[in-house]
Amino acid sequence: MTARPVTVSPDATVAAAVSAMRRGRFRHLPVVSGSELVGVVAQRDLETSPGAPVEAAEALGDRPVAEVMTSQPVTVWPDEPVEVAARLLVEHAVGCLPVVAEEGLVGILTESDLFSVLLRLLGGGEPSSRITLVLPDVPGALGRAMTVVGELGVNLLTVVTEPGPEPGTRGVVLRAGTINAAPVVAALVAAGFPATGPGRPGPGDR
Amino acid sequence: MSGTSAVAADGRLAAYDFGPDRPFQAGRLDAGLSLLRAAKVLDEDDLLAFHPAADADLELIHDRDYLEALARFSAAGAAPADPVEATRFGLVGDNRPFPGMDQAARLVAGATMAAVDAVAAGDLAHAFAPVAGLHHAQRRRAVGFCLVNDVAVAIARCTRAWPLRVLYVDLDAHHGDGVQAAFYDDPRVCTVSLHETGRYLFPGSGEVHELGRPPGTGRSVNVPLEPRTGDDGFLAAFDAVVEPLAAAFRPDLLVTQNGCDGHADDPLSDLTLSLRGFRELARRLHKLAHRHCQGRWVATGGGGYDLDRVVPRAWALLWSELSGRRLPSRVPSAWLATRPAPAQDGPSGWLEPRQRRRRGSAGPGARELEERNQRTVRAVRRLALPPSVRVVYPLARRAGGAAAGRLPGWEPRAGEHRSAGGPLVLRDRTPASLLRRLEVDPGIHAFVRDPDQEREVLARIAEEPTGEVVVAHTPEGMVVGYVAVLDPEPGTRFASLPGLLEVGAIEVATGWRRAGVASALLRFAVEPDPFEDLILIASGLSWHWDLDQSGLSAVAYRRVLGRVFEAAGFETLRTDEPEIAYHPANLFVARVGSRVPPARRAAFTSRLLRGHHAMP
Repeated sequence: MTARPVTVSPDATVAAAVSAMRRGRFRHLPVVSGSELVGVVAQRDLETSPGAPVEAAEALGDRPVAEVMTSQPVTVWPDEPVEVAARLLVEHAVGCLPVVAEEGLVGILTESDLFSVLLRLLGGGEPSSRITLVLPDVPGALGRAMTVVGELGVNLLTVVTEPGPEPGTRGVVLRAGTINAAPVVAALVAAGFPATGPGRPGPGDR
Repeated sequence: MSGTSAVAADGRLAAYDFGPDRPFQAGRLDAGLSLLRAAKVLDEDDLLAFHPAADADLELIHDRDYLEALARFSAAGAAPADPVEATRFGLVGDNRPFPGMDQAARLVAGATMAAVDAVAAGDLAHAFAPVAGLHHAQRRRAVGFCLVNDVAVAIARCTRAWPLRVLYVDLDAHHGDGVQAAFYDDPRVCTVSLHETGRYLFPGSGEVHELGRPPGTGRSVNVPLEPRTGDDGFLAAFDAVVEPLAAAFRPDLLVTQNGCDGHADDPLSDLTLSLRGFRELARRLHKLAHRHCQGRWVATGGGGYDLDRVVPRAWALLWSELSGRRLPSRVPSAWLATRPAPAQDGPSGWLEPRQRRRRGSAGPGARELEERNQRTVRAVRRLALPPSVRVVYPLARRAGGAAAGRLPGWEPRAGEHRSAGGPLVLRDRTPASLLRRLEVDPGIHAFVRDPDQEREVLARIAEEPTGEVVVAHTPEGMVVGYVAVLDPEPGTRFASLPGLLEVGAIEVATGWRRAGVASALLRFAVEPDPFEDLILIASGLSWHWDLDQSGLSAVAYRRVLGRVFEAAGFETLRTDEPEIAYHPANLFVARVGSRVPPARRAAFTSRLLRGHHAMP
């Protein structure tokens, strides 16, 4: 999340909110009255449709934020796990969640924050080789596969698993900290784990 | 040293050795140099002296605590390294510490530094550092067999000492991430990496949209190619991007990383290149160095892990090209006899036997692979090359797809413009023959130094079936400005709309700017009646602008450019077309002719914003 975010008051004009967003290069603003969160505005609340006449944009700019904001927005606590926040964003189809503690608004969590988390989880920021696997969804399968990698002395940077393409399977995406990943893929295949990666591109990955 | 080329290597570099069970091992030096000697293309005189890099050199790129860790873990007989600290600095796995690695890494960096210094100073025309090009090493981390980033150190040293612009071309199968990162915001160092896509392959980066950071935006260029791309696809991507990029960037020095791990026999990648491909690439780089860098070229060996069949031959082909020494017709049998068995499986000539390929016999998925690569190359060109450069270096047309020009005919016109600098003649439909009789003002130099070359460039646009060149020249025949109108590049967002053309380039010589020439040219260019039936678009990507010359900020430049277009009836439009949306100073303008039917106008408008749905 972004701690101590820029906020606007409900009686600020739409034009003022737009310029605050432009200055800060963000797309969501909590609306705060005193210390109390009363709503959020998103960039799309502050724009007229692309074909609208200039007069409409000017009229919108003079209106107070309170008239265009989403009042009583969905919020999260600061200690909530990230997947809870992600589920709220998806279920309520919103682009941000104000983060509220006992003392009031402490931050804002946006889609962009979740993309950063996703990038960290999938290891896209560190030099590594990507290997994908489909495992039977039974206890011990993942552990056995990872032992194969560990025995080659290769450091695993990230391991992500998700429900697999068929019932009873799990898909695994891992990032191995080695430039020489073909032996890792080969060892996994030899141990009975069908893997796709360097040296063994899969269908559609030519 | 004799002659104008040298090899920066000697036996000391064998110390750079992760051990016989690792792909990067001591044997590569001997395997490669022994073949050069056996083929009689390398004498002791050709070796360039070098010294281990000093702390002050390495600290241009690396942090002191990383260098200290390197020295500590390198000490022979040291207690087992703290595994957590070793992992933090990347000194595990691929980069497992070995005794003496600190000194070995300093020697590699020293060799590259000596090569770059000698070429930058003019002592040598070309130099080859075979055990070098450790392009993955980061500021405080060893990555992918790369303990220090010798290339980045050498370039940083050289750009500090001399006001040189460096073009770094990385042909290794893996993305040149460390070198890119070292100069990500530096407008004087342009890095371009052609590599196998990071979808699976190490290091995972090198996407098309990694373009650099201000003020170096647009100076990091990446061409991620599909596994099984092969020689033809790789060379096509090289031609479509590297040569025009060099023309646009105007480098003073070419530094290349000629990793041969893209070879079909190499265990570390799936690009399926051949020695024939490497020879072609070396030839192209050599030409490029002479065309754009006064010959200054430093090549580094980079990766390559088939030490028997591939690496020695690839080095020999590269050194032969670079030094002009002719290789004997066959690989010396005396050399082959000294090598392990797999070397003898290699071709007895320098290249693989040419395979007979029948049309249509390409493997399954070949067409999809080619389409993916073409999509990538088109995106790279749009992002990395100024429009005028794309015009001059067009993509090879696909067989059978000869595009019919969209521009209707009219009688060529001539007009007059009284500018502050003197009277000018304006002409449209300028034929190539006339362009070749005119001179070009040296102040026109968006992408080539030489006015004669610039004139040839304009003539070539005029010869394109779809191209139209409008020029402003003095009564004495000196061209001081031009506008080029052409079909939009295929595959782009607006390209499939009928009756739409693009103002591909507009340029005015430096001495004639702010004299209203651009506005006059553009107004003159769109006067002919047929333009009332057409939509004209133009886009400006801020990192292509000549901000140094103009002394303007990107935002101010955008305003000036916007006014020039508006004076000719263009309108500035908002679009989420990704290249325009990439930077807020980018500009998109269009002029919709008065007789364009409403349905076509609406089709155009609906393409401006795709991420948004117009509200009812």
